[in-house]
Amino acid sequence: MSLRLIIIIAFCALLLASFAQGQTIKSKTAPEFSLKDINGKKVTLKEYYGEGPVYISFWAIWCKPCREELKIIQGLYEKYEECGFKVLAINTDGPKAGGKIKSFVKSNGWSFNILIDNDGEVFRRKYKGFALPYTVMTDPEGNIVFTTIGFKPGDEKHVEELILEHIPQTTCAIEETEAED
Amino acid sequence: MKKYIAVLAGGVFCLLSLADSCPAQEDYWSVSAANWMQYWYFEDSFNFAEARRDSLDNRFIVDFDLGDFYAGVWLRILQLNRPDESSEETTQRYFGWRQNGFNIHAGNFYQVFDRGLTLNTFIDDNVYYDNNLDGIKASGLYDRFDFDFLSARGLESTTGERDYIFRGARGAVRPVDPFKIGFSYVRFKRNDFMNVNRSLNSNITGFNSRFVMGPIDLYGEYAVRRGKKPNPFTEGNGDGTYLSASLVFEKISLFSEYKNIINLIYPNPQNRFNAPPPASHSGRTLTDLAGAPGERGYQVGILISPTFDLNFEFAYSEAFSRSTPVDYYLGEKFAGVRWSATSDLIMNYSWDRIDYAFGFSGEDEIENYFDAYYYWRYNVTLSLAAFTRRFIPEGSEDYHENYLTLGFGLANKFQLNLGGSTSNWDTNPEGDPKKLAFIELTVRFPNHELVIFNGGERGGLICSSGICQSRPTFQGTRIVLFSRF
Repeated sequence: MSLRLIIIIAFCALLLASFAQGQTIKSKTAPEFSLKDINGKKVTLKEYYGEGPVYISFWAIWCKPCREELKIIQGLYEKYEECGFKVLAINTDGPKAGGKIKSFVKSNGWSFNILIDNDGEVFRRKYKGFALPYTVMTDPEGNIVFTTIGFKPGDEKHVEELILEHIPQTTCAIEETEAED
Repeated sequence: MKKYIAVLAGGVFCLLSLADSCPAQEDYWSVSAANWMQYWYFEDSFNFAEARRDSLDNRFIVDFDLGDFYAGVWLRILQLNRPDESSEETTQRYFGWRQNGFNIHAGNFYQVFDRGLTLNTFIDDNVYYDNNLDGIKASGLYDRFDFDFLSARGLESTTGERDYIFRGARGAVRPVDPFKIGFSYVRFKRNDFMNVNRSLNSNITGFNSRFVMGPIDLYGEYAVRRGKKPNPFTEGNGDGTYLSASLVFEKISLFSEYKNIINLIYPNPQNRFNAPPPASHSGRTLTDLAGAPGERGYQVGILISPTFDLNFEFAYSEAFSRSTPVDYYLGEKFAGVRWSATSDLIMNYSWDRIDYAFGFSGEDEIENYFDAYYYWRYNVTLSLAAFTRRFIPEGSEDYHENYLTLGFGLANKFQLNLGGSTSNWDTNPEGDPKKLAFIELTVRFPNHELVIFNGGERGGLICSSGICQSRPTFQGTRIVLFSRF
């Protein structure tokens, strides 16, 4: 019983601390990583900063909601790519997806960069992921503005609001028209 | 341990409370944490004299970063509804240094060498599998080459001790753009507790090559295992081959895989530290399902996308056992389609047939799956998922299970699901009810997800990462809370 009490007290303390910080984790920067893309080329997260918000999505081929998420995010990517919006989709299947992943990506029409987290070190350790799909979104400076687990069609409405909020004023004309809508 | 956890939680609380008021945090140091808690209340308890009706699994991770240095710890408290199966422990702890693609890491880690034929350690919560290593590794990741060196210990599942010793290295170079070549080597050792003079040693050496140009992607890997035979039931020598090829065009993509292994997996299929990709759509393998020492198999598939909103996928795979007293066979046929009929409606349908044959027995399994999402309002979606599974066991009556879930979601705020399942399996050895229903509510806060489930969830075979486990039916209440700080 005392063990449960300790867990509850510790957790409540963290929960209160989290809410006391204003319900966002803007003070946290996204953990830096380097991974290979599906063609074997090295990609580093910090290369993506500076132009606009960065949407980092952890996914797997077997994960049906992940596929729905990335199909829908592709639409947002096409809409806001010129405004600096970036997408990094990090596959967590491990080596078992190696023979299929390029076909799967091409078939789904994803034009953003696909990275391979072969041993899950980025997903599990650096980003503390427990379930898929797991999403982390940063502002152009790399500060985390949004994280979520799971995806249902309709969630992209909130993502689009965040994109519009964090697109630099000078880089995109869409922002003003969308904001007026 | 309890005192340790309380002190740690208090320390993290203080650090997080101070985080916003400390201007140095963003620039130089930071603390981050995550907590994943699952609580179950079982309506039907196990038949143990001291059995509890509830279980708790709490995992807490905290990381500290200071410039290029980092350190972290994973704590887990497990209190199961069975006597003597509770624990509270530090499951992982680690520290390291990284700069410009180079990383030195000490403590617990996961490592996969290429496609996993020589080393494949990972965590998969779907099947409760975790074969992490504990030791030291050095890694480098650069444009034209990458490498890993490690010296570590692995967990022996029956003793619960880190009795397995690993030394390993891998490297790969890309001398000219379409080509990449690599090698890997693992020396595995375990002193045999049955005979102190002998040990379960194995040396596994692998070579791989990849060719990527335009629509073509070819990969091949060969590994050979040489080792001792500590007892008559364990074969020390073996080898394995894995090949994959994909051809990608604008509207049609093709992929294929081939595997052929014999006595490659060490130390045994149940507690393994290497495995090639399963080469099947469902991720099932004969090595795992039947404990076969070897198997030969292939998978071919085609994906067709006439438009962005219409996708077809077809896959066919077969696997045959090697060196087993009777022949084992595993075949799978898959067909699926995703269609976004209008901007407001998304539909998925798939048909999956799996055929097993284990000597004189076997079972076929057919799944029909359908789901649909409909945008009812700007940020309100309605969903439906329905699927049926038909099981055809060799020599006995076939039976089926039907599932239906209806959902209501408000964009990134909450999701409400109502569902149920039926089964006509009269001889279910577990005595599971034929009808089950549930309600599930997911509420999302900016850094927290809360899932409350009440009702019945039918069990069955769960396969992931080439590992299959039979999961019992759950009836009761489950609460999951995932938080990031």
